[in-house]
Amino acid sequence: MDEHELEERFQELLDKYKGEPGALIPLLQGAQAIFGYLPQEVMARVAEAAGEPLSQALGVATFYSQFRLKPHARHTIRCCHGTACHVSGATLISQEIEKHLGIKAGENTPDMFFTVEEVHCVGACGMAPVVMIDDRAYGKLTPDKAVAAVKAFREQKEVQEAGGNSGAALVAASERGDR
Amino acid sequence: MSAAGEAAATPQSVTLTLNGMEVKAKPGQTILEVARSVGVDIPTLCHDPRLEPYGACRMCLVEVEGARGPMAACGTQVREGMVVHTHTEKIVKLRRFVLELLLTNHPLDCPVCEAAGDCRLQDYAYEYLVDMVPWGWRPPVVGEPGDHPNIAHYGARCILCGRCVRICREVMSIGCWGYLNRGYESEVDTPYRLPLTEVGCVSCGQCVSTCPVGAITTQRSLLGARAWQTSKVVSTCGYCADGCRLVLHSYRDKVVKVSADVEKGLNEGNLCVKGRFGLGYVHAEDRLTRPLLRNSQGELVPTTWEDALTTLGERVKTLTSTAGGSAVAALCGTHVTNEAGYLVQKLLRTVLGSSNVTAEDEGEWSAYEALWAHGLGVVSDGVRRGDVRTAQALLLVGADITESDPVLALEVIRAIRTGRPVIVIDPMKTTVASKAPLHLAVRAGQEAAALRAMLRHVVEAGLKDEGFLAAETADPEAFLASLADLDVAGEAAQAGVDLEAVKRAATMFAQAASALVILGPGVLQGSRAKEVAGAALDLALVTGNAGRPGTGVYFLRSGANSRGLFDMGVRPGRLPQGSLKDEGVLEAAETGWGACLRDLPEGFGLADLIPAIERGTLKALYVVGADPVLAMPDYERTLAALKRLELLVVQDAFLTDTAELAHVVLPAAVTAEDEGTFTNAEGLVQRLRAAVPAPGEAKQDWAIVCRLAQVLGADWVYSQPEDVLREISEVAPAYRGLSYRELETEGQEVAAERSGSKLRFFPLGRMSAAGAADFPETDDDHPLLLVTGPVFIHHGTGERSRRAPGLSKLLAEPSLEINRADASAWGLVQGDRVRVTARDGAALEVAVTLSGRLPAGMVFLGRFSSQVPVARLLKGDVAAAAVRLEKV
Repeated sequence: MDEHELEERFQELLDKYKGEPGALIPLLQGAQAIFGYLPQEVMARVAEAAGEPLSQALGVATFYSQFRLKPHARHTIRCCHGTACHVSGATLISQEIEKHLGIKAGENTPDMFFTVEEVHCVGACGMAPVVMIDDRAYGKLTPDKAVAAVKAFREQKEVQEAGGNSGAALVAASERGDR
Repeated sequence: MSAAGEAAATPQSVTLTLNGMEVKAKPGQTILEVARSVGVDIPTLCHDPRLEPYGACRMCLVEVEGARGPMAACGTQVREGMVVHTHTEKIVKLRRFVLELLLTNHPLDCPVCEAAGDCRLQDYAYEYLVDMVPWGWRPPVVGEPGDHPNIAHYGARCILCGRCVRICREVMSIGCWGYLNRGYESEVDTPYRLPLTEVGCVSCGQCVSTCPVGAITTQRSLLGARAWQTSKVVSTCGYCADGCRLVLHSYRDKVVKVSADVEKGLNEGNLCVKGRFGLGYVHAEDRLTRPLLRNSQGELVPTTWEDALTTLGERVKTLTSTAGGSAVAALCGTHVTNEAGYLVQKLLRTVLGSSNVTAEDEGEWSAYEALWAHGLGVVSDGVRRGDVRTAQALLLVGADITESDPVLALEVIRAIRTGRPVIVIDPMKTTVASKAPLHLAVRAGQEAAALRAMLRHVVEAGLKDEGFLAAETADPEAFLASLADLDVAGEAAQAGVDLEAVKRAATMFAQAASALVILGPGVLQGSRAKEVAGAALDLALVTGNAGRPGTGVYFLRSGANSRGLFDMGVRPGRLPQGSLKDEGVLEAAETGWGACLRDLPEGFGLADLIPAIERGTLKALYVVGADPVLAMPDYERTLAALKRLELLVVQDAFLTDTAELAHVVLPAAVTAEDEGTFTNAEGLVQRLRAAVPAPGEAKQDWAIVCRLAQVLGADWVYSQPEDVLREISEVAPAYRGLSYRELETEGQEVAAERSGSKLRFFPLGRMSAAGAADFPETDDDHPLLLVTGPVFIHHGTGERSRRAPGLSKLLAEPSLEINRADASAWGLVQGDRVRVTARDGAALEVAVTLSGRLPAGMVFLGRFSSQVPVARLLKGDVAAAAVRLEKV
């Protein structure tokens, strides 16, 4: 979607809720659905449309974990810190992944390949400790295994993305069992 | 009242038991309010009476018998028969727990914390003996306070009570502060941690005033004075006419801080940037500390009081012996006290024999004086803050109230926030206009046309208050008949506003249970003043909005004692006893003062001051706390005239632009060094108290006037300002019975006529429309209309506010505000410098600011500067000029 089209959809959203009391959260959700995250200029316009000060809009956006103020990288690593994962060493796994990528939870790699997040329970306690990369789950991890999984994922995707338009690469990838 | 059923339906009071005491309370009061009213101290951290109850801190938990658990006293209303315990063992334990949790991550940098000695957390930790935190102490690092000149933010000390967040939203309607994140990570900061100046902050410091700890404080106080080291005196603000009550904190002869007591005074603890951070001028380096005399080389040189006064006395005597007393005039600034103003006019009238005495804001009073007899006095004199607070609809005409009267403006903001109709008639999209439900953006100078359209619509649509008109006004038929051929659409078109919007405004105003008009000084100048004030009066009368609570016309005034000086007779046509037109007044004054006044030549007012000098009839001018060079229109003409004077005496705290031309300069004390009284715009007389001594040989205005009178042969024996007020209370009917003792704890209202059964009102009916007659016409050569007006960071022509670092660091010099469309048409961007040229070729250079509040074709320049005096571009009575711009 080009910039113009995004702006058009955003304006439509603002117009829809303008003057409606209590519209802050639907506005934030709508804006994030359009832009993928909530940039500062978007926040300012959402606040204005909601008739709230920017400080209030930002308070709500930083309170709920569903809202993102920073753009997301192409792929998300979610380190589970639910109770089961926590007691089986999630902290060490998070640390090792963060060290490997050189970023902290909530940040993106400079090449916008990975975002690392800490989440609370992904519902796979039997496999604790668990890390999810996009929608793929990796269980029974050790710090080393976790880093290996991250590396393997990247290699695989890089091959895919490099040949983004090449049918042969896609076919090759699918033959290896990628989705 | 005896019927039990009736009492139950509308209970007058409820009875509860508080710590075993039986206590009577008003229904709707909270446990906290009742407890505090009887001296039971329930601790609070998140509570501020200026804010809605919040219940976040849990310090005010109390036990209520029968309740499921402890209740927050701040948010629980009392009920009949309630039994409350405020300090049981269980409650004390809970409070200690709350404090332990708060202290877990609170830095204990109390020795260097600005709030030490004035910190609730410190107080309660000591009171509740919290000497350890069971979970280990994990204090965050205290960072830097930010670079706002007045407001320091130390997020690490925040206890998340939300008072700053709420006061900025609920009271100021801005919202600079907000919460970020959640749970343990929660903090309070500006959005994106931007500097305050970039998030709409007006630097009022309300957040400072409410923060219970050291998270938001003033920047380090002068001399590093501690709360327990300073002396505190209650005084009154000397800037605008709101009359805010201040507490001045002084230490080693310096005013180091200003605060305000919550729930006291008209401002109830609220202040604006000038009140809270604008007193730095008291200690400005260029304060005058010795009298100055111009020597034979034409230089002003320091001298002694004796020398200055003797020389002055001789020159005045020489001058008046040949030219007569009426060759002398006096001009007061609007922050001269009642006592000093009274003495100035008495000096002129009884010692020198001149009626030429006036104040800088005389022009703004012309309509009030002219329409007094029509009942405007009754409609406006008794209107108080409480009426603005309770009015069910407000109409602001030419009143940029957040700029001119920032604390009174909070009442208007509250009205908007509570959903009451607020209508703004102003060419500019003022701050209030941008928040109000209805803004009639009239063409410059066409406010009266909009009012006439509203007036006529009220009659046409059958919204008039016939009962009121019949009972209270003289000849309502003739009045209504005079409006018969007014054309609503025609007037709306002349005003340049939408017809439907005008009709809606008229309906909102007329249908409200009570409605009040606020008139700003900007529309009270020139020939349209009478037209605007008259239409406002008629609108109030035709809708029955006069003489009862929440109604009337509120006149904004431009200075702290504008009203007082008028009352003191600092006008050619008035005496403290009343209008000179009244024979009884003259007699009373002659008896009171033992002087003959009836042979005094008729005095001339402000508008005739410069022409009288030019004619040679006025030879000496005594200027007290005023700066006519900057305040009067037509700068060059004023300068030339003042230079022609044989004797110019300026009494001021600073060497103002006017003082630089003077022959004698007398160093005066400022309000923080003076005793006396101010009468605010609504007639509340309040005390000034000296917090610090005047520097060097500077003296209080009243004392200088006394000395001068004695030198000129008067036998005045006032030994203190209190003696002067005693005399005022004897001679001025509205001030009868006032004394310093009466004013000790709170202000007293001047007497105002508000009731009575006889006909009181004489509506003007249709007037010949002067409209924008004296507004300069723009044309191709000079296509922009330059206007000026108040700027909230400064006051008047800025002699004091420019010298206050807390203000000048926020805004040192004015810039030319211009509409974005005009800017791009002229090829200008923010910060460009332009030459602004008026039709007569007068010009000045100034930077440009793009503004969203100005209509196309209008530019705005504040008048607080001595470097770029807007007076250079203005002519005549109206503060406007046609100009062109050139980029430089």
